[in-house]
Amino acid sequence: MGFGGGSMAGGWSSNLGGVGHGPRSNWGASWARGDGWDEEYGSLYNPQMVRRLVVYLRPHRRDVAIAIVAMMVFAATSAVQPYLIGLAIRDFISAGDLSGLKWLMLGFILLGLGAWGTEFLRQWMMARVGHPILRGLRQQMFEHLVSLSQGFYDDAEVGKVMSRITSDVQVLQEMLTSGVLTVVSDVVGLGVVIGLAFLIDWQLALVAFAVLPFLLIMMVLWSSYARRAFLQVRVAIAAVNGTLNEDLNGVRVVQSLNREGENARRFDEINAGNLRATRHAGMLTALIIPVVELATAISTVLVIVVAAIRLNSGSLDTATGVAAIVAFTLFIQRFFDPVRDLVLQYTMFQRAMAGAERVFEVLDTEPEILDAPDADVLEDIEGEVVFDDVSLEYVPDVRVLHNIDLRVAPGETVALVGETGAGKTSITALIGRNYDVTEGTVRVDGHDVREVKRASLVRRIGVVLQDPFLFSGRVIDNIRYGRLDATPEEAEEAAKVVGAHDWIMRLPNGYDTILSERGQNLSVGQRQLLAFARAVLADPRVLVLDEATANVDSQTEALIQAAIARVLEGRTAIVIAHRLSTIRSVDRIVVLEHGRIQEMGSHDDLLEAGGKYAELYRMMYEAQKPADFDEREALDVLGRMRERVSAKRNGGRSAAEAAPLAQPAG
Amino acid sequence: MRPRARQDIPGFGSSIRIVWRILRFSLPYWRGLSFTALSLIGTAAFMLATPELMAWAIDSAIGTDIVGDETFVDVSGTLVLVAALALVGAAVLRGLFQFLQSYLAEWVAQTVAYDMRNQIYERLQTLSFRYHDTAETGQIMVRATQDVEVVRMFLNLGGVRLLFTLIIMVAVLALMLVSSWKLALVVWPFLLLIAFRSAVISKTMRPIWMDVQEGQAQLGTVLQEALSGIRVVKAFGREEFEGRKFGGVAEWLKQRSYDANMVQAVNSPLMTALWMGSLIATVWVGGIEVANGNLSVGTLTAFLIYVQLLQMPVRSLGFMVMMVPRAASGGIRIFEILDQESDVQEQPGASVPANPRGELRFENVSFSYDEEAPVLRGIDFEAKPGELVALLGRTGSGKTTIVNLIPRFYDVSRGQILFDGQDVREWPMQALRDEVAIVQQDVFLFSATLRENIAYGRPDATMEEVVAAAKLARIHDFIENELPASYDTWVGERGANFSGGQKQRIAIARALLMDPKVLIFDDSTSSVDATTEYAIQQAMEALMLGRTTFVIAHRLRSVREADQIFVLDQGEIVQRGRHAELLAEGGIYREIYELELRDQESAYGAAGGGD
Repeated sequence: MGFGGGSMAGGWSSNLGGVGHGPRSNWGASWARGDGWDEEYGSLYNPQMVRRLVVYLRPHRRDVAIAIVAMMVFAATSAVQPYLIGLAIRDFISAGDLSGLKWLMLGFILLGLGAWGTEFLRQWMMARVGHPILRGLRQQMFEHLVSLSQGFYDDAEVGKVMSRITSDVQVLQEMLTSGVLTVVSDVVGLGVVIGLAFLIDWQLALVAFAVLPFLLIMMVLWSSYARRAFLQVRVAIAAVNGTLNEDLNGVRVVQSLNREGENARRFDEINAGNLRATRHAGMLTALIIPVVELATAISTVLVIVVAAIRLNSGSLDTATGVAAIVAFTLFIQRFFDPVRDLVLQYTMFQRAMAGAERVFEVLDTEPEILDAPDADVLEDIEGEVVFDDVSLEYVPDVRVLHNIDLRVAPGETVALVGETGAGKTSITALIGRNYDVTEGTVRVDGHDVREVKRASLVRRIGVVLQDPFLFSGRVIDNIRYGRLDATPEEAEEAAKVVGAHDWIMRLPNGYDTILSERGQNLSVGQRQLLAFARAVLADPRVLVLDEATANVDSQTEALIQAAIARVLEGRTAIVIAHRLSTIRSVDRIVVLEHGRIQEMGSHDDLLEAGGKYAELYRMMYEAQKPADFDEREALDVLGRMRERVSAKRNGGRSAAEAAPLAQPAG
Repeated sequence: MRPRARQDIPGFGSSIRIVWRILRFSLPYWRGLSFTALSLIGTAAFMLATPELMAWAIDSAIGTDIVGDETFVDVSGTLVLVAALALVGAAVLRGLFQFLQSYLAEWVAQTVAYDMRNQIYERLQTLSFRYHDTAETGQIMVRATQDVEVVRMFLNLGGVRLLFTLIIMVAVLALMLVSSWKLALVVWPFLLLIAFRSAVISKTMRPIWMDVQEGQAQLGTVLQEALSGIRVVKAFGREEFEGRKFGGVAEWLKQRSYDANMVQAVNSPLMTALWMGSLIATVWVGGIEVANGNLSVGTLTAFLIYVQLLQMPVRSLGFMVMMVPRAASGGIRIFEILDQESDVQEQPGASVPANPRGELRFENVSFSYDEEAPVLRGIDFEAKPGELVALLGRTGSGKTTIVNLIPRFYDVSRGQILFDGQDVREWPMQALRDEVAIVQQDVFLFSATLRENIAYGRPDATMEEVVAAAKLARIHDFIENELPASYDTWVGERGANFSGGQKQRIAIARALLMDPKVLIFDDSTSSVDATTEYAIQQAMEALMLGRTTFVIAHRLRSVREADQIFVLDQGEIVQRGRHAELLAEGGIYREIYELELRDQESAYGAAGGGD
């Protein structure tokens, strides 16, 4: 008896599973596509899935066996009670045999103790089996997920992946433990009830259970309706929460654009949609009650009427008849609960099968990048990076890099320049083997990156990204992410190198200040500096800066630039810069266009050559070119809109003045 | 807002007040409530009628009588028929009332939840920046989802069903006492023990369940961070580290879930055994009574059905009772939001000046976020309609704060801001914000189509108008040529599919469509490449035509053309003037110029820039 507790588990997390409402861009995930609500329920029984699931039960064979036996005994004890009561009436109470009654009741008490023991055993075993499975499956999924290569995450939506590891695993666990056991117990219970009923009087049993087929049909029909209704509720509440979350995050924009009224109206619409869905589901839930009540009553009445007729005609002996009526009345009460249970389990099994499919889909996704079996550990390196005729395709036949030949000498700083989509980030991603090349080779100090252990490779390569990702936790933990065994002094030293130490000390608790999720309580510039410190602490030979200063204000950028200059000392660096002014002094500038190296050289050389770089550079500061559309006309369109809006507002205002005290509630 | 401590349980007095306030939410639906109450009574009546009818059927219609060791029956066909019809009739009515009661209770509870969500939403949308600066989205979400859910469950289970259970229990007790007080006294201790035990267990379970929920939340955080930050995880080769982190939380969660199950594993069989005890006691004592001729078989049957009937309600009594403190603590958190007053309030009777021109005057304006450290001190300036004003200064010097005061995202602490000669606090909020558009530093896009995003402030804008704004913002070509679905392209969560420069231009188009008199461009970031920067520059110029413009940007072009430049330092204007004057003056302006602007000079000059 979970007292509702169980249903709360995982309820919120399932809402994270992203809702497929609204049109999605076709840039979306191929992997995650089709992960819609229509696939919430799978087939009732998928032998392949079941075979895989059974594997998880195997280590707990003994406990499962104990649980099944305990539960069967329990089901039997509970079903046999009406029989005992009937027996008491027929053989002892009717006959006034009080000592016989005593013995029977003592037996009944033993039965009660048996029920107590077996029920405890069952629940205990279930907990012993269920939680380790849930825990193990989650861990397995998590470890598998983080081992998947970058390519997987380019496509996958985090919310959806999360729901697989939270709610899908939960549903699976429920099915494996309580689900399976409940079904077994219900079936055993029903079997015992029916068997005993027939033992007492087969004719009355037939009469009593005559309504069963009708009830079953009603239940199945109901469950298919109810299932759809519950699905709608889940979709609707997810929409409500999603809207609330988004508008809360964007509240500053909402207020600055005066959108509160419109948003409140839309939210009300979505909220009302949820209300409708829940009311509908509530009605369906309530609807099944009268059906069961009626079935119970008809059953009971049929037994009474038939018993009365047979008593009257003398074909039923009186003591048996009276006992049978009492026993059957109690039997019938106990009969319909398992039936309702089974119908609910039926739905749960379908959900679990769909969940299993999604869980195994994750586990079956092979990491594209695996260490070669004979991979070497990359020891200390000088920091030479060579691209030898490298081509790259993320999607077959769509080439993002064409025959890149580039050698970066140890200690050299090379800047990659080019428009969005030119392939700058792709080049840097190949160094740490986030993707594998389609053709050619990437070598670090002469080692093909595919022939060394990736963990040893990335230890030598530091990456600072445009969007610095911080983990919730202390400032120092975030810096130490670069080297877990670093001492606090070393972490502090790294912070000093990048010029973060001073403001960290000004934080409420210095290095022990807790960062909220993603470091939201720091400015972007501060976050970026921490990411820098993290990379510096790792002390890599090769440093990749992917637009590392793009999101910071120019003041902080100047700070960071100074830090970079210090950090790059003696390291190989590959820098992607958005501002050409920041890379003037680098050793070499590589200009990329459409995945090809267009030109290469120092700032002055390239400017003089008058090629693509010079064009980019000029464009940045060029005086205004005439627009290729009629600016005047576009402004006129907006001007006319202004008139329209103000006319409408004035109309609205006079109406508002008519009812001056229409103060919104709240 | 203090960190969420789930454990805090309000005291008795405040609990009552909060529960009463929750109940007040359901008062508007008094009709639904009354019908719920009526059907509740109906359900109870017909539920209790069944055992009595059964007793009557067995004793009178079938005429069972046990004398000594002989059982006699005296079946009356008519009475059997009457009993049968009555039983079916009672079942139909009971089912009907039960349906109504269950549905109506859910109806009222869901409607209240709906009202609460709407109110929370509207309140959050109107609370000023000051509130949102400190509030955590995650916590607010928990309040608006889980706490509302708790309140809803309370109204349904804690309120309606608790009432029902109590009615049934009292009525059954009374009926039992009337038909056989001896038997009633034997049965009731068991039932009371079950009820008491379930209340105790609910209390024991509560902290464990909270741990479980907390564990699930933490697991979610670790998971979310590891997946969202997967690039960092991979860049540092921290897969195993994250696995251990996850494992730690998962292990704790497992332990607490196991504990929760074990409490139930010990308790629920005990309850089953207790209940069987009541059944045995009834049969045993009742059997002796029947054999002694003090009790009829029918009454014994009725007792057995009663015991069966009471099983579920009595077992869930504890759970229902515990709903009350849970609802109270949920209610506290909900009302904390609803009672939050925005510190920026519209003055009653505020009027809009005719034909806004866009003149702005700051008169001795001071501002502080927390009453302590002033962020702005004695700001005094005037911007004439159509002027370009540039704000410069180090990070934290107060540039963004100044512009946030104009559309009243915050209110000044001292002094006043006059817009077209009228204090901004005397403007109707909507009119003011219609005239003042701001392109914020951190561009936020909504998951909607691109068109809807551009028209976010003018939902009724025509396609032509949206396109005009996009053209002026220099984003139209990109939308038309590069996006497969053009303006109908879906903008994913926070516009993850767009680059910083694209997002910024979408935001500019959005502001343009507001066609404001005062435009604020908070652009201290530089998240754009050279080409984009150029496009944005052009877009800005289109934006400025005929508007008073405030620019926070360290761009040479902006400062050169600015009619006024204010240099801020620690919340004060330390330098003001035009570019050439300030350059000659030296000071912070000169420093910034040397550090950031000078670089742009050569290219600017070389390309024949200037006026």
